[in-house]
Amino acid sequence: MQTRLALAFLFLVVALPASAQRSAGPLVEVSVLESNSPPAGASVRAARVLSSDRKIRELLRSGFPAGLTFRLELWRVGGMFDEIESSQNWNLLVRYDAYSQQYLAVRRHGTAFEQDFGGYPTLEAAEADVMVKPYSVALPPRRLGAQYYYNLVLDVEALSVSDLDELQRWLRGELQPAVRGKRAPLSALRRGLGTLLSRVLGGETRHYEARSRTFRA
Amino acid sequence: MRSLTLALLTAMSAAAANAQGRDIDRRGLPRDVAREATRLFNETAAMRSTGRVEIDEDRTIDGDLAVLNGPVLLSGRVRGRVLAINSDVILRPSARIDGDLLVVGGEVEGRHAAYVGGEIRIYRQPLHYVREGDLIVPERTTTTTISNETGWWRRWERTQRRTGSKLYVATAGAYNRVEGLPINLGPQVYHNGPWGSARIDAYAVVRTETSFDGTQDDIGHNVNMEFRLGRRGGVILGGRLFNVLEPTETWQLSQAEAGLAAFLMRRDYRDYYERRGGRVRAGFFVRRGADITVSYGDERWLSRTSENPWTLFKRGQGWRPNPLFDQGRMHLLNSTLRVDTRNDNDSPLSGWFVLADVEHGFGKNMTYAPRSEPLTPIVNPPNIQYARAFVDFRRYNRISPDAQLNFRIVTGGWMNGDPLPLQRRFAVDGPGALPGYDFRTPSAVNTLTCTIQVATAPNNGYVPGVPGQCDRMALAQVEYRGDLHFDLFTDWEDDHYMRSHSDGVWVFFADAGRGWLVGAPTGADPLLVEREKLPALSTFRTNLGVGLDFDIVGLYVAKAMSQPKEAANFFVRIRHRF
Repeated sequence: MQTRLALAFLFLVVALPASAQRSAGPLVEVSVLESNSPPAGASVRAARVLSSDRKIRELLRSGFPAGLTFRLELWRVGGMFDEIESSQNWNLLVRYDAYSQQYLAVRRHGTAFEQDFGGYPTLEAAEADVMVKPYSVALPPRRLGAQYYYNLVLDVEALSVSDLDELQRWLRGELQPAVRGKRAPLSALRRGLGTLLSRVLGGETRHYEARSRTFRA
Repeated sequence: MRSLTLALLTAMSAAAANAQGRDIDRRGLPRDVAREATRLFNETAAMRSTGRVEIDEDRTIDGDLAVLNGPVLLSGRVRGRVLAINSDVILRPSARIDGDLLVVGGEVEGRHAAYVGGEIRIYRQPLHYVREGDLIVPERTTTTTISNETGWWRRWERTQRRTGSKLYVATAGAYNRVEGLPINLGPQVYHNGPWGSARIDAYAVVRTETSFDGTQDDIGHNVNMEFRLGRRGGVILGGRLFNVLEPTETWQLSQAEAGLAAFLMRRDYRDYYERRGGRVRAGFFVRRGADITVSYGDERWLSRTSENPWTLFKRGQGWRPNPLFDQGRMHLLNSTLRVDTRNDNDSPLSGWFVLADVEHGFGKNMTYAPRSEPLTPIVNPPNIQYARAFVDFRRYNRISPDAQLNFRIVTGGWMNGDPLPLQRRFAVDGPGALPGYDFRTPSAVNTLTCTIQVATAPNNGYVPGVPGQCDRMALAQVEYRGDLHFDLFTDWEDDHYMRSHSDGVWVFFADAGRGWLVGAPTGADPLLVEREKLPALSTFRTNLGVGLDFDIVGLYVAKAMSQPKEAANFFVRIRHRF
């Protein structure tokens, strides 16, 4: 009985957060573009990578642009080791404009492609139009008959956050309420230490990876 | 006085209101784009059209194409550029644009299937214009704002990447038992131009443990200047003036790991000595991933002793003493090669990393720190010259979408000349090298630090801090990394496999290594190896281990195989092992 209970508990511990994460957490997808035969590119989409992250949301509202760096890699399946055959990078920049109360977004893909999406009233609307809609990237395989797959790496970070910016933000956001007596000083210190540790550990950058199914060129 | 204040306030409010009135549409089209679009439309001689335009597959436009209030359906060829104002553009697979494609107030469909020889720029924001005969001019009220002269991202990028300066406050190294937290404080000036880049950092190095102590007043400096001539490859020229504390064995643990271990657990895995002087360097770089430099330094090496910085835990325990190191004036000539083809610096899946350095050292007026057994105290010579090499060689391989097999070989040592100064010697024990073996533990013969325990000698023959003192060392590391599939609802063959920071990977690893002294072997002394030979492979110490790597932090356990009685070691690494 105890074993069954323990197993049930373990299932709940593992399964519930996982199912919750699937419904509300960030989502990054890369799919093989089927329109060409053999496939010559991938379709990329992301959802909730900004809106589901409280920290990034706060930083955006504080005026720090968010930078999303996408890297799409074409991997060739090898006999022993898989090899990267080619890759492409592009960036999405999202900024909150406090005056117009709009989220502004722009996509830069190398030096030859630039797309200004204009403004959106909410972060969710910006994400829906800019990221959830599939973005097609041409990355054709070179070796006919070989097996390939696409690997997508996405790094999300609040830009312009130097240590000095962080210190000022901490003084404004975390420490000031404590100085004014609105929050316990120890709590402010703990949050500050947490922020510092998070930065040391690289927690300020969100890193996602996704890969497509394997296909034959 | 009050009326004057009111008048001033009124005037300021009116000015602010005026400014706001001008700034009507912050999300409008940038003014430079509006100007460019109208200029191009008015200039276009080849084909200018209003309303829907369709270019068939067999048709060619010899020049530019400008369309107002389209859409544009392009199957044929345009030898010039295409401008679409308040129009969508649909490109068929047969479409070919030899020049640029500029779309204002519209979208582009099919750009991957078609050929566009030039730049593609798409602006969702419509152009508000007025007609003046055949020409159009931008409507000033909606698009012309001072702050909207150019795209916001261009302004942002300009401030970020081009020329600038800022006051820089950041850690100058790991938290450590000699200086506490070293902090760089000072200006940073940088310039990026078409010719390359220039950067000057001029920092005072404030040490929390000694800079504010009235008896020491210990503030260092670190002034660095570097020019890179060329964008994708070119020449590096640089120079540096410094008064810093330099750690030894930096190839083992990262700065964050060493600092956190010291700050949290009062364990400092590095040793420190002081360097004061200057250095110039020149070299070549190819893209961002490879460079080769030659540098020459004239500096003074000094010893530093431990302080007692604050730690979060184990405050009742003492610090491991910082060893004394050799002192003197040094002239160093270094040749350094760095090759980095990894696809990602933080979480590499594939690629090479090679760091190779050869150092020729010339020391004057040397005073030597004491050595642990079996090395004997050195008094002479006052002047030395030596050559030392160091190589860190890594290969990252993806063996399947879910798994990696990575290798690392680190080797280094004395090449010729006088014996190496103590700070240039090696150790291969501890969590950064052979984690199955404890850090700096006494043993009868320790081939990881090249020390021996002598029961009859003071302190068992060890000098305080037990610095590594191997002439040469070799370490091989191999690890297999396989994805964990924590998420029970994901099909492992799912087309949309995804993972993030919090998902983990299994890591199985094996390490083998040892250090040795160069000399003619006497009897059964396992530490001495002839100059031209390598130690027998059977004398290398090995460990096996397993861990869970959650990208930012990894939890591991390692078991020594060469000494089965040694207990398994549990350890934590920040980021990956290598």
